Amino acid sequence: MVTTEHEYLDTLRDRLTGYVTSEDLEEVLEEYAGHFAIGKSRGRTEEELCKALGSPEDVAKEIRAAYLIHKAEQTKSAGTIWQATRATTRLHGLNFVAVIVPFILFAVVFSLVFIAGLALICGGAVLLLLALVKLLGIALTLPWHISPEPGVLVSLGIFIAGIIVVALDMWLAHFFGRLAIRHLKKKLPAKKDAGFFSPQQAAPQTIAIGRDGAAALDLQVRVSAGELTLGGGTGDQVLMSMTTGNGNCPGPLGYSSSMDGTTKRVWIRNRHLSWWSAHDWPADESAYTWDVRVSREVPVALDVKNHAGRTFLALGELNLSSLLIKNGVGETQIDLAGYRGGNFDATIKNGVGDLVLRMPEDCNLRLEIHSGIGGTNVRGFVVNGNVYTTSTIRPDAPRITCLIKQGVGSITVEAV
Amino acid sequence: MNIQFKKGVLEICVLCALAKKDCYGYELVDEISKKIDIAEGTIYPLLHRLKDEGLVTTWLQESGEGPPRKYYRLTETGRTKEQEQRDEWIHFAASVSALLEGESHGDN
Repeated sequence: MVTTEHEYLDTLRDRLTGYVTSEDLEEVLEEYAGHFAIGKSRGRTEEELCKALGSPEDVAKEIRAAYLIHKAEQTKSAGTIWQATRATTRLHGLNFVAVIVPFILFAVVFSLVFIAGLALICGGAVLLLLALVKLLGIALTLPWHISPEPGVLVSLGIFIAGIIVVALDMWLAHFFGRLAIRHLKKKLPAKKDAGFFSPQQAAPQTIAIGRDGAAALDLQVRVSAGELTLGGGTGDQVLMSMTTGNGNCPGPLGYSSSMDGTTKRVWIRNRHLSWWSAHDWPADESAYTWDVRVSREVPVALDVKNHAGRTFLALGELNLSSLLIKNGVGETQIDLAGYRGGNFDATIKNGVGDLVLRMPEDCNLRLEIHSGIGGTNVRGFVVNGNVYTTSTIRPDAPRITCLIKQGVGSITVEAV
Repeated sequence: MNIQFKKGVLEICVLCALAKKDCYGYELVDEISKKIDIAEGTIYPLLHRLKDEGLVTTWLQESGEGPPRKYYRLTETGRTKEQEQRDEWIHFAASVSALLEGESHGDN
């Protein structure tokens, strides 16, 4: 327990050194020293003042959060923005990966454009120099042949274009940097309010769509974050159902269903879909669960997207007419073992995260894999470049054509 | 009282106090902690953040006793924000009170 001004200020200095600049640190210590000075002049003891201020460790934490954002704003270098991003995401339990992927993307794009601009400037300058030398009629002996073109004006143009590209790139980077900082700052009060206006634990919510004589289902599922499970098995006369699990639902759940001829079209989406403004995401995405059950009675055109979180699709018992999966960040498992349904085409696009596929070995399967960063591990298929086919085919086996595009993460395909 | 409640209202209390008159840190802390039991030390980082956001500015005044005092003053943006938050809060508090009273009547 800290009871003197000296100890209090020392603890603050200790906890802040290395986190705020030395000027900021002096400013902070001055402010608190001033607080002690005025307090004492009004007859309060150091012990009373220490107690009223609250533990210096907690106060230091608040100061660190407040000054990190401040630092990023002043210098706006990639490093400090990075640091502030980390601190803020930690402070608020955000999904760090989801915040940082766009960050890296921006950094790479701006760097490339910057380099291209520099190349234009240098190239333009050299050409301009050569053109001027030529103009002055000085004979040059160079190891390569130079035509009289480009002339002075063209070289000058390239040079100026380079300057414009670099300036525009820097201005845009600056602009986006500010945007990012403004966004981070919004998080700060948002979190302070979090305990205050925090949504109550939502009771599990179920949506069920009746069959109503439909001969086919066209199902679209869009989830912002969470653990998504999809499989077969619904009650009688129920075409599909979805249950949101424990925890707070990240944003409202919207759905609609309509009949199109004999096909029932259903879409379900959880409206909090913006990547960048996901301020009420949980620290652990698995806190949200989405459980979707689909009828085995009718052919299903399935279109699934999970922005962040794990996705488990047990499709072996379903009858699919098409399959489209686009996942953002998170592990994806697709199990088609024992598939007995109709022919279908599948497209699987996975952003960041491992992909595991269990494919039926007795189907007429053609698999094309475009992998990004991460190994591909395929067992039990005939390999031809990036195309994989099943070795033995039953005559009446359903035909499955599957295209996989993976960003970052391993791909494992197993014939079962 | 729940600490999150206090944290949530601290910003609006500070803005409101500054809307009445310019204050130096100690004065502000003293005024607020008289009404709300809060760790006084957390008001300074809050003031810093408000300054960063351009809601307040500071000016120094020599004082007879000790070092010059740093006064905080609301900017125009700060004034607008104060009005907004005050309206929001009054509306919010009224809704919550109505809700709570409704519930307790229901229990009776």
